[in-house]
Amino acid sequence: MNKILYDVLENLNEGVVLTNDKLNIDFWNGKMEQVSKINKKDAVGKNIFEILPQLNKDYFNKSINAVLKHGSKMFFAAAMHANIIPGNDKYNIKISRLSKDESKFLFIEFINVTNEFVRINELKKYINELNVLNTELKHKEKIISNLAYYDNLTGIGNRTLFYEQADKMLESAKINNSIVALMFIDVDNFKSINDTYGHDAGDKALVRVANMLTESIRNYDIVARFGGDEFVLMFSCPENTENYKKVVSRIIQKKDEMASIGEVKISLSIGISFYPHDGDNIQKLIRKADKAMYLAKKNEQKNKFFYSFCF
Amino acid sequence: MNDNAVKYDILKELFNISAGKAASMLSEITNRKILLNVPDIKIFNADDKKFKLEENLPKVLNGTLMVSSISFEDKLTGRANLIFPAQKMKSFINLCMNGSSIDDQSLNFNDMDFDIVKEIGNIILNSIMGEIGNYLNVNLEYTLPEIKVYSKIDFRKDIENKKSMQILMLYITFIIDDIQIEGAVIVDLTLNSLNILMQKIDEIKDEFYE
Repeated sequence: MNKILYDVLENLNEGVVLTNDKLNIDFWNGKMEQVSKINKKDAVGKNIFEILPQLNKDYFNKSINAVLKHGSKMFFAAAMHANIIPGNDKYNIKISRLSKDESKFLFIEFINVTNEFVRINELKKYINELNVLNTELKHKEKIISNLAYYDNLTGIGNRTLFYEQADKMLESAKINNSIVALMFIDVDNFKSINDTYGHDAGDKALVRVANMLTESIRNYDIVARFGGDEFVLMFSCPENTENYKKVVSRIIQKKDEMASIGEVKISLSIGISFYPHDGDNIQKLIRKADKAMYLAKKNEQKNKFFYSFCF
Repeated sequence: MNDNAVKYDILKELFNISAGKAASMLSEITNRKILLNVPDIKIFNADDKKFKLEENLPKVLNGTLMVSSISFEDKLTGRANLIFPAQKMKSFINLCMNGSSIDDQSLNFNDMDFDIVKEIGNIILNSIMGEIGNYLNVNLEYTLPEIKVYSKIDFRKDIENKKSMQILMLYITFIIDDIQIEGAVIVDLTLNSLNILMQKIDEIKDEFYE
């Protein structure tokens, strides 16, 4: 039976070392020979710290003494203790005590966990790559979303976004019984700006008008480029329809501050309609505001706006 | 001085000595300054209907917990559980592995992580239980730790399944660099084992007053 047990230990697929209580090696199995490149004849009889000098640390010493004295079991993780057996492989180490009669022996197991390390590192690398891809995808999703809802030139909302937001604003006004103003704004003689000064100048003009309109309203109001040289504003009038005058005067003030590009003077025509007076849905409001804007355009005065409520 | 209070103080002192030794070893291994304190201990009867584990655990032990458990037998019989919030253990593991407590919000532990916690748990529990056994001249043989990740509810059910157990609760604070981890060591003991322990403490107390 002893021979069988000896053979079992000798042929185990993990490194096994047995020492006496003086820490001199009594047994060094085949796996230890293979992984340490130290033959059993060179190991047996020698002190464990001489053969595996990396074990000769204070905490290993204390642990080994505790194991021999009290029979406690110690475990050392490969991730925290590298190169106990020289080489690239990783080993967990288990240390326990065996007793026979009055004699005590140290039983040290070296369990190879290199494959687990490799697999875990591969998984971590894979997860990192997935995270990078995920971030790129989210970034692209945002770009696509922007393209769908935002005007490429001016950066403000486009017609699609306007309709979505306008519906919500009207719903809210219906529930709260409040007034909403819709302004339809057109850049006067835009075609001639393009023809005279070039399309670059025309684009700059549109960008400036968009910025100006954005700065004239509150954060939660709606501004959008409706198409070509047309813009639309939508905002609630908490007290009465006269609130629109504040917005108009802000637009005029900003327009005067920034309205010329080179020698180009920008003027705007503005038509205004109100919910619920001019219509209970967005299409009606746009039609009314558009008509009002058209009337304003025919007006020869500077800073033209026309309030459709007169109809 | 109240007799019980003296016994508690002796127990607390024993645990603090052993916790200090564990901290010293962990400091050497990790090459970082580590402190381990046992500021308070309590004893409960798990059979007592009024005893509710969650009311007595440190408040920080909420959500997912990481528990290292060793079982021991011979003169003292029972189980010792070292419990820390899983998120904090993740930071500690990252510190040991990478040298920085990366803000990793995931609670995914791989085999390497479990091995590290097994080593830490073994050092702390070995030290605490081993020092008791040593001081009290009581031989304890225990297993290497089993590591589990539990929700607080599942852990409570696990403890409450053990009938006729006395619970010795050590409140512990683990400080590594600037990370403070509050946790607990819960030792389940049979009534007989607790009585043996308290008898031994009595002997120490009597020697102290001689």
